[in-house]
Amino acid sequence: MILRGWLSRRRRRWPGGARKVQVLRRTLQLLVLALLFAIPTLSLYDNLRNQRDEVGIQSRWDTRLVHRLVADLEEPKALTQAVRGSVWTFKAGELVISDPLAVVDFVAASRVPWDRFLITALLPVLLSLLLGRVFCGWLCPADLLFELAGKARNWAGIKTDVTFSRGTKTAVLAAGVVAAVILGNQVFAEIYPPRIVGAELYLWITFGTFGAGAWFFLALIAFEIFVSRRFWCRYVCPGGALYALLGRYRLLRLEVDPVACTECRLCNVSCELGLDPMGGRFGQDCNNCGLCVRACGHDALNWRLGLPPSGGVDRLGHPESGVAAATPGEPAP
Amino acid sequence: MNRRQFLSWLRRLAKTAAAGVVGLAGSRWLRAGFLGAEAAPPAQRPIRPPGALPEARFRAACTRCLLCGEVCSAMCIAFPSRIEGSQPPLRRAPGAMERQELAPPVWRGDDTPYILPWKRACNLCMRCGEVCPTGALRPIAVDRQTIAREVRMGVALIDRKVCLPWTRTSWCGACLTACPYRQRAITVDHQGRPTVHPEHCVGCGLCVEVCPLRYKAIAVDPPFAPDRGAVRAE
Repeated sequence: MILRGWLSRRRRRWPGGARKVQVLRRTLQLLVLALLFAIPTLSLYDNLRNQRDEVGIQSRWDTRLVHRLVADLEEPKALTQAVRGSVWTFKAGELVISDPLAVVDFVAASRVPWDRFLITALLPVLLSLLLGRVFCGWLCPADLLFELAGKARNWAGIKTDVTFSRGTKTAVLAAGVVAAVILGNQVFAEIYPPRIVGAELYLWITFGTFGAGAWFFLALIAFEIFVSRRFWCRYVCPGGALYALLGRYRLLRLEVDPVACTECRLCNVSCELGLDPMGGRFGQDCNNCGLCVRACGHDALNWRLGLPPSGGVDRLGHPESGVAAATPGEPAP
Repeated sequence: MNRRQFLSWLRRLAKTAAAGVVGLAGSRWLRAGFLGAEAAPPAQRPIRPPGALPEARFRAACTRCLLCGEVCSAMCIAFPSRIEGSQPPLRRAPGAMERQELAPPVWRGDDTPYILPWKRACNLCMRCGEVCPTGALRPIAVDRQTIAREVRMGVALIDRKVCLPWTRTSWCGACLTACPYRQRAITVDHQGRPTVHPEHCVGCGLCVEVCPLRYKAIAVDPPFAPDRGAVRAE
């Protein structure tokens, strides 16, 4: 009976525009997670092959699989050395892309105004200036796991939801920068979930052990499930705060069609970050995940590419004036 | 209790049991992963990869991207969360007591790279410096003279009260054979007793890896203290 219900729900209809966007988003997130598994395995295989360690290659199922795939190639190194790193610092050939938070951390801890390393964050910074917190919703591997934790939370029927101030994460960012300057040691790397997920997968695949970060991440997951929904992304994440600040005057924004909107609040309920897209009060925290667009049954909510609100924005990136009055509904209590 | 309450109680029970089973299985799996601490022979300490900046500047510059570990062709760069049994450097070697006072405590488990030479030693391929995006590990040309001049991962210290030739137990010469700068960094006298010459030692740890004793008779003393550079430059 349960199975029949599941099947009928699946068969409902072929995904429309907003659902296709979700398919694309999940595909990207799963691809990132798959890369985080694949890159350490490929590196391990590459090193074992350099040492001509046939026994080492054959003694593990993953390197054995890689060996079967690349053994016949002319240039196996073109594949096994193609990509390195994780979402913290990614290296494809000569191209190095790193998280802007890594650059902030580096500049603060080593107290240098300029280094070649700063260039590596250029691409993410530009994308965030245009699209906002898009890395949070579309590429972050921890976001996927936190959303799964949210599913577990719903499944277990846990209602406890402690809320904090949204400005907390900006304070965490500022405090971390100050701490890095004083200590002369990078601090964000130890508490940034996307880096922790990548690093722990690397440690597990390469050495068969986990580090301290795994405990931290497990504690975060437990806190997400039992105490506060998506609290890390909403209130604490310094990387999220940095992306939000970068995307404060972004061009990609949600827009409510006041004629089509029936004020059913389905979009507000669906928002993972607990924002208020119906009232137009999503501010700089919106990660453009598109769950609210999918939830809307009247096509009243859509993305719009254009200039930021003319009246300026307040501390959390909400429009100061004009726009809020024109949109229906009150801000969520 | 009516039927509806009983059914919801059953449902809660089933959920709790399922969560318990998953939790127990998961904790077993996690313990297997987490409790794999590195075991070191006494008097061994981890060292930094070749070309590392002085310790304070290294900790400030290292962005914890783990790229050096990924490209390490000897697979010697590790990110140990804790090391059991590792001690301050050899007490009986000349000058070791003074260095022990200089060595600052090492906060491990922060995903910065170390080499544990008693497990796997560096083969001086210099890929880590090439890949490091922040310059915490300086790029150094793969060239015998350049490496001998630029790399100072530490200096090997021989424990003469344990070493086989020094205790007149047997002939050995393993460290001499493994040393990439043999007859310069390590020499043996007419009785086969090895001596380290600190001005030529790059601290790669290959001698430690091959030392046949379970409690290694040789250790690499890392230059973690800031003023070690001045001592080394003489």
